[in-house]
Order: sequence, then structure tokens, then C-alpha cells
Amino acid sequence: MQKLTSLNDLKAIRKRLAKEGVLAPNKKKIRVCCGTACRANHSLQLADNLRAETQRSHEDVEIITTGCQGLCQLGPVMTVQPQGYFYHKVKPERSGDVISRTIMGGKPVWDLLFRRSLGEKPAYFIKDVPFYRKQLRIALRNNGRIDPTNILHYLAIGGYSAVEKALAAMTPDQVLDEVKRANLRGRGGAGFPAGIKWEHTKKAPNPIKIVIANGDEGDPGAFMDRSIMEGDPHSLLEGMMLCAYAIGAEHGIIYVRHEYPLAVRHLSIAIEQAEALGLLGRNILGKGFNFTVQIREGAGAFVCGEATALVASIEGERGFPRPRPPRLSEPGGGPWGYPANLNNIETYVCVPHIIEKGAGWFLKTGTAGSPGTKVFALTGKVKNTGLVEVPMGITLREIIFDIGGGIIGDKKFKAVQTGGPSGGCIPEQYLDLPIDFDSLVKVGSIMGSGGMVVMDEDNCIVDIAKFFLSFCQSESCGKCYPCRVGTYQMIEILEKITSGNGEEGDIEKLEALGKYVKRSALCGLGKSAPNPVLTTIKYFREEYDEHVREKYCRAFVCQGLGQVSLNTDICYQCKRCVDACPYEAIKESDDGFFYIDQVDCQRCKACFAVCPLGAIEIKEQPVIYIDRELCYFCRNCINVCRVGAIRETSTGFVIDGNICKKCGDCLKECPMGAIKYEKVGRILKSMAVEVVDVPVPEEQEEPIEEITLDEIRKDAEEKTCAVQKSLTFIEEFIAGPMCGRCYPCSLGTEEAKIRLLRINQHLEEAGEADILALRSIASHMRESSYCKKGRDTGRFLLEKLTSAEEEFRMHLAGICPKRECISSLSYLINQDLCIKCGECAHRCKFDAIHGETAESDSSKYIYFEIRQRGCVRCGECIKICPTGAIELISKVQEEFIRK
Amino acid sequence: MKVEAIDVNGQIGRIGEILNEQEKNRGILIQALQQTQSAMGYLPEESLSQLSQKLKLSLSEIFSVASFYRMFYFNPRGKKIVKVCLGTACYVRGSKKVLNALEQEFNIKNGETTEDLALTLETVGCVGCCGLAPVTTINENVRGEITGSGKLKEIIQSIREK
Ligand SMILES: Cc1cc2nc3c(=O)[nH]c(=O)nc-3n(C[C@H](O)[C@H](O)[C@H](O)COP(=O)(O)O)c2cc1C
Ligand code: SF4
Ligand code: FES
Ligand code: FES
Repeated sequence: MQKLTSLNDLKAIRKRLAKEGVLAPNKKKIRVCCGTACRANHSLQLADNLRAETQRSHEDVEIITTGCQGLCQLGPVMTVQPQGYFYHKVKPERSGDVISRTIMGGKPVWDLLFRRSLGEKPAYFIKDVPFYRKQLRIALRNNGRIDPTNILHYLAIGGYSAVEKALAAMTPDQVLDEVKRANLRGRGGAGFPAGIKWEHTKKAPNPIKIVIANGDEGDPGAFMDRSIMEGDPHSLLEGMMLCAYAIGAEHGIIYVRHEYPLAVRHLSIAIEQAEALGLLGRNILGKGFNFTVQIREGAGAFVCGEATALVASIEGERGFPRPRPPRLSEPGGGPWGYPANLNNIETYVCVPHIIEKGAGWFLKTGTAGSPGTKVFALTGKVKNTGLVEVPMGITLREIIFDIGGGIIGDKKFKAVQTGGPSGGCIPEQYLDLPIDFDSLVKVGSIMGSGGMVVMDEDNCIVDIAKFFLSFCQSESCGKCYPCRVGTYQMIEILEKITSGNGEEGDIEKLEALGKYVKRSALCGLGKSAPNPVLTTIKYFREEYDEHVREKYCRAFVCQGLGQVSLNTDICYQCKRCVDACPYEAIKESDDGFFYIDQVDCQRCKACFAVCPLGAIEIKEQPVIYIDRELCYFCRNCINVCRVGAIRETSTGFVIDGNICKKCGDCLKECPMGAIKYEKVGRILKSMAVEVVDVPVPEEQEEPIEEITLDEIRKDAEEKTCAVQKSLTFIEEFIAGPMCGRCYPCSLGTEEAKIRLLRINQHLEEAGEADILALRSIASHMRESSYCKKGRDTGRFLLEKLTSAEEEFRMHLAGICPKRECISSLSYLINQDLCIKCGECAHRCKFDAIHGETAESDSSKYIYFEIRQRGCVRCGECIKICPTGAIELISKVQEEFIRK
Repeated sequence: MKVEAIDVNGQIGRIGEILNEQEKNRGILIQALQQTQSAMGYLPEESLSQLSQKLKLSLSEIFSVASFYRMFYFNPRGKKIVKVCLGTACYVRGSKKVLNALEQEFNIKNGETTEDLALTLETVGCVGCCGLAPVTTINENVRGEITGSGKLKEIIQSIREK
């Protein structure tokens, strides 16, 4: 390449390029994105394949490997000229299709076109893709159009014409005035007007000045500077040149983050080529302007993005921020004491356009206070992630929903974090806020470098705040106290809250600490680190409260909060949850139901995910406490508690809420009912039960059963009492022929059994409702069970219910007219018949019969009697008594006798 | 690159014109450390003391700078360096799970190296591919959208192979 020594040389080379048709719009070319994200999806391979294909087909096609085109998520992306078709997700093996169909045939490759959904028409051109429609590209205008490693491309599309214009016809002061008039605000953080900063540096008395571009871009979730450095390095060089020209500097430094090797490579190539062409170096274009640029790589410290720390790092020191003043623009402030002007990459990239087209043009876009555009890295839970450049003043809603396509899975939007870890979380109510530097500050956030992370209902806001804070905490350089210790303390508190040990007052403590750190930290990192916490407390206070008071995380992110429970009314014992549980916390109770043992449950929610019916519910934690009035200190609860949560204090027993797992074991043990279990437990999350169409099995010949229904019926009819008959039938049916395939039968019989047992045993809660329920279960089974067995069982039950309704009713009153339901009766020993043999006392397993046997040496005073509290009415004594002295009395009769 | 081969004036570039000898030596310290590390894989003490003589800086100063920056290591590292991105975008899309899975699979913790020096597992705050979150890099290779166990297995596979 020949050195350009005058403005005319530059004009000549432009003319030559135009004649050769470099990047001419009507020429066939393919622009393949080779940004970092697309490279990860093999776009380099794709470009190679395309080159090979074109050679094979002898087509005159230019394959241009460009920088990031924005829609990284759907990469590799490409545009094919002259038609302008936009393809996404192009696998390397599809290169043949692109060449043969589009280049040779002029037709689009249908399946590579972008469609929002299968039912919609494809978007042919880039402007039809919703992601690009609202964008306006100034800083990114060359990204995706040129090959960043070829300076001729940049020249062909009018690159370096701003420098040309400035050197030809503008004094440095005019350049400075233009930038000042355009009110270009710094894109790297606080939005300080670049023109004013330049003027400051220019005014510094030192003759030597330095221009620094801050490409440290450490904000996680932001990658616009990277894309510019990789995809359009010459624009950055041109912007820096203009700055140097305006303020009279000869040296430039680009500080690039260590994690960006490709950016370093492309920048070095660009500098090399510009030097070779004489656009950098001494006496540029014969105008007596000297400027060189160097690259400095960072070494992995976020705080080095801060201006004074960056200077320290350039000098080869530890990246400690320095107190200001002196500011960078003042003598003693910049590297080695030379005044320096430091701007963000994006800020510099805007300058050539302003010089070329004038400040008036720039002021036309954006808002009054913040003209121009801003590049955002849209990431998080949006459908389309990537780089978007939009005019200032656009609303968050437009960015997230129109450009980003809304939330993944159409979940509910929760918040958006702007400005990276130093920014704030903006809630839904501000979605329609037109955004610029000032409006974001008003709602407690900042523009920052332009990271925009969208969060949905599955993100826990406390967890996110903790995440951002821990980022800043781990990146704190440790120089000053408030930041080093304060952020650590704040994390400790957040850790406590998210692990379910939060206490009243913690949130206030967080707020106070946050404000303190903000006020007193030395550098921007510490000053802004509490922002995410403070804004989330401000906008999502109730979520914090929920974590602290109710120990519940509504996004189910924080481990150890909430209570997982199993709803036995829905559960149909498929056992999937039992298999899924890694902690073996799902157990079977004596009556055959599953339950979750709260002591073992680690709240991993594995069962929640597998249950097909949504029987697993996540509830608020219930409150358990001991009622002091009722407790008479029997210690049963202390003995039974497996986690040692019940403590004895000087005034009585208390349950330690932090240890208690709410398993409910103590409830059963307390004879006084002194332990209160308050089910605030409102269901917070359960899966909506989907109605699944179970295919109706065809009526088949039933396989031969061991017990047939007829045998069961015979067994049942042997009993005399109608309740006993029904119970026997149901029990044997469940144990035998029931297959459990359909609901009416599998759930119905179980429920019928429970209700019958209640009636039969005359339990306290037995009542009319049981009979009604039984009737509906029976008729339900008779109508809708799949097979004959089930329907017959229903029929049997129904028969009994109607023919012996009175008998059922009497059971409710505690009377079994056939004297068969032993549990509803009391056992008494008829002393007239008792011969005091003692057999019954011997036989009783429950130690309920006491008395003295008729032996020669006994007093004969102590009669045999049955202690009603111990007796479980098993009937063993009746069987053994040789004289039939043990009688059954129904509870009603008993009362009558007593009277 | 050998420490002796470091050319101070060449490294510092044209800005060296305005600096004195000591400033130049200091100015290239970080670059020199980077080059040493990329040649040796880590920063052995021996090289650091050579560097100290060459740049006329005390060893403690060199240590102080090297220990400040995250990318410098004083211990040998694995042949494959796997970095799981825990930047914001990746975090909200579940990169924690990827980290946990890799920790379990190779039985090392974040920041550790396997005994056979085959693998070092690290985390990084954003590699700039947030569009593909969650992202993991294997040496310089970027792997994106690691959702679901299929993609994870693939990654484990490619870490395993030599
Ligand atoms: C902790 C911290 C990190 C920063 N990181 C960056 C960064 O990565 N990129 C950047 O351009 N500015 C960063 N800044 C802001 C710079 O200090 C500085 O304000 C900015 O680069 C000025 O450029 P501008 O006026 O063009 O915005 C950071 C500031 C702080 C406090
Ligand atoms: S605020 Fe934090 S990062 Fe900034 S100087 Fe203080 S300790 Fe270092
Ligand atoms: S890297 Fe290809 S679109 Fe961003
Ligand atoms: S946050 Fe992971 S690549 Fe940016």
C-alpha cells in the first residue's frame, strides 16, 4: 500500500475504489457475520465453505466477513446482496443452498429467512425483521457492512472523510465547538458532555496530552464496545484522531479488556493498516498533524474501567483508583502526570458522524437533554437478545417487547436492570418511561454503559440484588473501607435473608449500610455498588418482606424457603415423586397415602416438576407454637421432635421457628392439644391440573382374577351389619380385583373406605356428610367407571345405602343395631358371669383389663374390669372368655345405664 | 517469550518518547507479565526475579502488581482452561447449573485444577457473547446456549478429549 501524503491522495484512492466497484451496491456479495457470538456458531467455517462454493460455481461473489450484526442469538446471520435477503442460523453445510439458490437463482432460501412464528410470513429483508425495525444505527452503522480487517472497505464507504474535512477546512477549535454544540454525552457511564471534557483537557497548560479510549467494558451483560472494536475499529481510530486534533494531543492509548482477544487483533490490524497508509503517524496527509495510537491490554480487573484506576494500570501499577482532583484532564491527573482525555469507545465512534454531518444533524435524533442514539446490549429473558442501537427517548417497552420480542415463554415481565452492576432495577410501572441519561437517574438507575438485562417472574429479585452486589464486592479493589467492608456486610445480610434466616430489621440495616457506602466510597465502583440493592428494596419491598417474614421466595429460587407439601386429595399414588426425590423425603403413611417428611425435605422442588397432576404444592410456611395455657409440660413433644426445635425455658416450652421444620409430629403427640398449627399455608404455587384425555380402554375379557366379585359379595353378605357388609366389600375389592386405572374407581374406593371406617368406628367427625359422600361416590362409580367390576362395586354400595339407610344413620349415633361394629361399643364385664379366671387380662395386648384372679391367697376384692381408655375393641377377650361374661354395650345404651 | 528478549523501547512504543527510563520499565510491566504467562502458562518465581532484574523493579513490587490482576497465576494450570461465564446475562439464564454440573463431573471446585493438569475450571464475568447465554469457553473456544443436558454432555465430551 502506498502512503497517502496529501488530501488529494485520499481523494484519489476513494475514486479508484469506486471505479473498481469495491462494495458497490449492485455487486453480488454475501456479508457473513463473524462476530464472536457467530464464530461460536461456526461462522468462520461457513465463510470458508461459501468461498469454496463460489470458486466451484465460478460466480463472481465477494464474501465479506463482518463484525457483529446485532442479532447474535440467531447466528450465524448473513445478508446476501444485491437482493438483500437476510438469513439467520445458517449452518456451514447450508452454504451450497445459499450459493445455488440465491446467488445463482436469485431466489431466497425459505427456511433460512426469519419468521417470528411458524404461522407467520417470513421477513425477506433486514428491515422487516422486528428486531431491526425500530433501530437507528449511528455508532454501529458500519458494523456488519464492512470487513473490519480491510481498511479499503472503510475508505470505500466514506471512512476517514471526517478527518479529511477537519484537516482541510476546520481549525481544532471548530472541531471542538461542533462536538460541544452537538451535546454529545459520554456513553461510558455518567453521561458527562464530551465537548466540555475535551475543552478542559485542551486548556491544561502542558504541551503534551494523551487521548485514551476506555475499552475495558467490564459490566457483565454488556458487549457493545467489544462489537465496535471488533467490527469497526477504524471508526474508533477516526474518532480518537478528531479528538487529538481538537485538543492538540499526539498520543493515543486504547485500553482493551483482557477477555477480548479478537478486539485486540482487529484493532492492531487496523492501526497497522492506517499507519501503512499514512493515516496515523507523523505529518498526517501532509497537514502537520501527528498522532499515534497504542493498545494496552487489561489484566482482568473490573475496577480498571474507572478512569483513575485505568491510568494507574497504564502506568503499570496496581489498578487502585486515585482520589480526585487532580482530574485526568488536569496536569498531574493522566498517565505519568500528563493531562489526558478519556472517553468511552462509543463516545469516540459518534464523533466522525458529528463532524461529517454537523451538530445540527446529530441534535435531530434523541431527546433535548440527550441527543443521539445509544447502543444497548439487550440480554436476559427476552426472546431476541443482541445489540440494539436506538434513539434516546425510546421507551423500555419498545425495546423489550417490540425489538426484543417480549419475554421468553411469554412469562410475566418483572424488572429490567440497566447500567450493569452499578445500575438499578426498573420495575414494570416504568416500562413506558422514555429513556435517556436523566430519566433513568430519576428512577434510581443509570444509563451506564448500556447493559440491559431483562428479568421475568422466575428470577428472584433478592437473589439478583445479591448477585450484582457480590459482583461489585468481589471486584472491589479494597483500597477504601466503606466499599471493602460495607459491601461484604451487605452480602452477609442478603445471604441470611435468602437462606431463610432473615430477621425483622435486616432490610432497614441494608438500606442504612447501602446509603453509607454510597456516600463515602472513594470511587465510582463503591459509590454505585449498593444501587441494585437500594432500588430493588424501593420497588420490590414486598418480596424482601416475604423472604424475611414468611420465609418464602415467590420465584422459587432461594433454597430453604417455602414449604413443599403433597395434596392427598389430588395425589393418585403414581410414585413418580418418590422416585424423583433425591432425599427420600416422600414417605408412605400407615393408611397408604404419600406425604412429604418436612424434616428430610430440602425444598429442591424435584417432585414439583415431575408430578403429572399438580398434587405437589408449594405453600407459605405455617406457624407452629405452643399454647402456654394448655401445656402441662409432659415433654412428649420434646421427645418426639427430630430436629430438637423445642426448648425448655424458665417460663415454659417454646418452639424455635428457625430450627422447626414444621413436620407436625409434635401435634400428634400432645395430649392436651396445646400445640397450635396455623395454616397460613395459602397455596403459592401448584401446577394447573390439565385434563388429560385418557383413551377409553376397550371392554375386554377380564383376566382371571384370584378373587371374583361374586366371592367378595358372598363374603360381604355373610356379615349382618350393612356397614360391615359395605366395608368388607370395598376392602376386598381394593385388595383384589381393582386395577386403579380410572379415577372414579381408584380414588372413589379409597375415599369410600375411609368414610366407612369413620362410620364404623364411630369416630368423632363422622356425620351425615359421610353418608352423602358415600352415596355420590357410589353413584359416580356406577356411572363412570370404565369396567364392569367398578360399576358393580358402586352398585353394591348404593344398594346397601338405600336398603339400610336407617342402619347407617344409627351408626352415626353410635349404635350398631346388629351389634357387629364393635368399635362403636363399649366392652363391659358382667360380674355375675365372671369366674375371675384372668384369661382375658392375659390375652389383652393393650393391657386394658385389670383385676385379681380367684386364687386362694388373693383378696378377691379387686374385680376384673376393662379400662375404656386402653381398650381398642379388638374383640380378643370376647373370644377367649369361657363364660361369655364380656358384653357389648352401645355408647347410647351406656349413657342410659349410667343415668 | 524469554525474559531477556523483552525489548523495553519496542514494547512501550512511541509514547516512550515522553517517558523516562523508570517510567518505561514500569509501563511495560503488565505487558511483560502477560507475555511471560502466555509463554510459560503461569508465572514461575524464577521468571519474576529475572523480570525484576531486567526492569529494575523490586520483586515485591512485581508481586504486588501481579497479584492484583485476576489473570495472573502463580501455579501451573490445566491444559484445558474452562471458563463458565457468570456474567449477568448468563446468570439469569442459568449458568450456575452449568458450573455445578462441571464441578460434579470433574470433581473439582471453581478455581481448581485437576491433579493430572488436564483441566482448570474457572468462572468469568461476561465474555461478551451474552446473546448466546449461558456461555462457557474452552480455551479460546466459545460454546453458547448451554441449556439442557444434551449440550452439556457435548461440552463435557469435548473437555475430555485430548
Ligand atoms: C467501576 C467502574 C467501572 C467502569 N467501567 C467502565 C467501562 O468498562 N467502560 C467505560 O467506558 N467506562 C467505564 N467506567 C466509566 C469511566 O470511569 C469513565 O467515566 C468513562 O469511561 C468516561 O467516558 P465517557 O465520558 O465517554 O462516558 C467505569 C467506572 C467505574 C466507576
Ligand atoms: S470504592 Fe471500592 S473499588 Fe473504589 S477505591 Fe474504594 S475499595 Fe476500591
Ligand atoms: S456476533 Fe453475529 S450477530 Fe452478533
Ligand atoms: S454475561 Fe455471559 S457472555 Fe456476557
